[in-house]
Amino acid sequence: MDSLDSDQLSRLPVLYRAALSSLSVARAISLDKNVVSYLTGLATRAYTFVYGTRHSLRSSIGGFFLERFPTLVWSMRLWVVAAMITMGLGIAGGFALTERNPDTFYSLVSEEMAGGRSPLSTDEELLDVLKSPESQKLDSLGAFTSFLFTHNARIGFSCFTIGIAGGIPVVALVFANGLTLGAFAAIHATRDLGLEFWAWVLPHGVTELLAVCLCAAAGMQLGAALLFPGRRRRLDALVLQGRRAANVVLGAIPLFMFAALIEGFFRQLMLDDSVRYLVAGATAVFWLVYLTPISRGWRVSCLRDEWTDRS
Amino acid sequence: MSERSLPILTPEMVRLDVVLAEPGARLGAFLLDAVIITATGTLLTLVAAWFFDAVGIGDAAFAAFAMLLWFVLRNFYFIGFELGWRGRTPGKKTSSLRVIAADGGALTADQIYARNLTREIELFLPLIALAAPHLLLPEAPVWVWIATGCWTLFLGLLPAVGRHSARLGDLVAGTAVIEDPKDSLRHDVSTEHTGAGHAEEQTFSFTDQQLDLYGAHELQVLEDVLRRHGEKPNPELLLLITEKIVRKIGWHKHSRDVDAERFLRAFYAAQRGRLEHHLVLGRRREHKVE
Repeated sequence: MDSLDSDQLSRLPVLYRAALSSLSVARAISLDKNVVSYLTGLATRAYTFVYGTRHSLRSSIGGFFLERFPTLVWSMRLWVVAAMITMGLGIAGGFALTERNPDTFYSLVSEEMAGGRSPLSTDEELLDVLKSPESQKLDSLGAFTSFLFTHNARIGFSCFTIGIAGGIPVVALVFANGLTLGAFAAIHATRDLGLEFWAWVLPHGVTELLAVCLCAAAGMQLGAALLFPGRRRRLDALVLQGRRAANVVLGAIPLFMFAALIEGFFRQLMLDDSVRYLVAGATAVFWLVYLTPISRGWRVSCLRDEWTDRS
Repeated sequence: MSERSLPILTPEMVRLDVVLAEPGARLGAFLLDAVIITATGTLLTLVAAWFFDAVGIGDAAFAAFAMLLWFVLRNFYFIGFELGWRGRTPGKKTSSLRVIAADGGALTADQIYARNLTREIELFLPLIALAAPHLLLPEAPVWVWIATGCWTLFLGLLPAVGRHSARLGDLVAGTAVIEDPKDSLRHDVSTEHTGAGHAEEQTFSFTDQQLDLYGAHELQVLEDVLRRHGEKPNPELLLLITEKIVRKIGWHKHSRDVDAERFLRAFYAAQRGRLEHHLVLGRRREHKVE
């Protein structure tokens, strides 16, 4: 098919429609089975060419990130907010439980995740994790980053696919995520290390939690489509939302990557709290502007430039 | 039409009957793709190992690179190829399969993302569940394991049991995998091999009453038989059919006295002429008169 030159390509749609109309005629007046099946085959091959995907991976990336992804996220903003509230409730719940009874920490946080931190840790031990990087060697930070990225992106994918199973597990997953974070916050807050702890979490947390919330919102919407299809058939509702949800999850992958880079490199190299807060604030503002219609005019003009460049 | 055919309505509102791919062919295509992914990944990992070793960057950087490499290969191999090659991957191309939109519309990039992002839960989760269940659900009671096993098994076997042999990803994305059509245009059976033309018509003549007994379905079965006879001769079958037809239409000669193939060709031509004549006048007969 790639062997066609531009002249032949421009004739293809016309020929395709001619084949379709020949097929219709043949069906009506001919009983030669071979003619009909040959024309069906011909029309099908032309159909897959004319109506196949027209975007290559490269050319669709620009349109995707400048237009489709932000628009989609904005269109499911209620679900995103719902996911954030769920996570917020989880954080608050974990915080309150652990503050009241420090032993709860053990049931909320798994041992490997705690990384040696527990309600029994001394102030110095806690501060040690927050302030001193585990290793200053750059290459091990790279491995750490890459691990964080693949791990988190898979969690995002799971949110999407679990959504097909009804959406409720997604809510539970996000809530449990929040519980863990809340429990961590509580053991630091009781020693007056709350400020330092959030400075440790937020630079990458803003992006990462946002990405988790986006994936969760996609999964919740998918689950809602399955449970409450409205006037559509369940399968049709699933198909309709499935495409949108898949786009959101795909768009969240770079967010996970960005978060992992901050977590793996920046956080381990920059130890000053004010710088950490500055970065957290900057990422928050950036995502807020990018994902809401505020930046729409600017994004569309970028897209137009790209189109004129290409033609 | 067979049960493997799926009617789709093109945007021009013309019905096309496409042939759905066999689950076996899809499995074969997938295995080939899996082999390609594994081979490419292994090769690149080895090259990277050699390169990182030569440059002298540490093991950790290499681990980071390898992890990213496999992630990208596993998740974007299918998406990239299906986007760039109009719904085909190398595996699908070898088995002449293709992804289309099941409703007959244009295949969009969204659909390709959706049908491939579900691979994680369809394939890798069941594999992990089989190989190392304790990684997936630590400390879960036995019934959770059994439930999870059944669920993942169901998802994995969906193409073999479900309608349209659709994967979960196909259901979510609204796509179908079809066989690429490869029928070629062949000679018309009614004009083939009949150099004699006029002489045949006189040897084999049929009255309208005799030709009104059969319908389009029987005609096309006869067409199939004659075409297959052209590729692989089967005189006994032709003789059998000739006997049946001669008896049914009450022809004036006995079936033993004629050359079966020539008789059938002539009958086919006459029958088709008669039915197509009716067709033009708006009367279509699908089946024979009992």
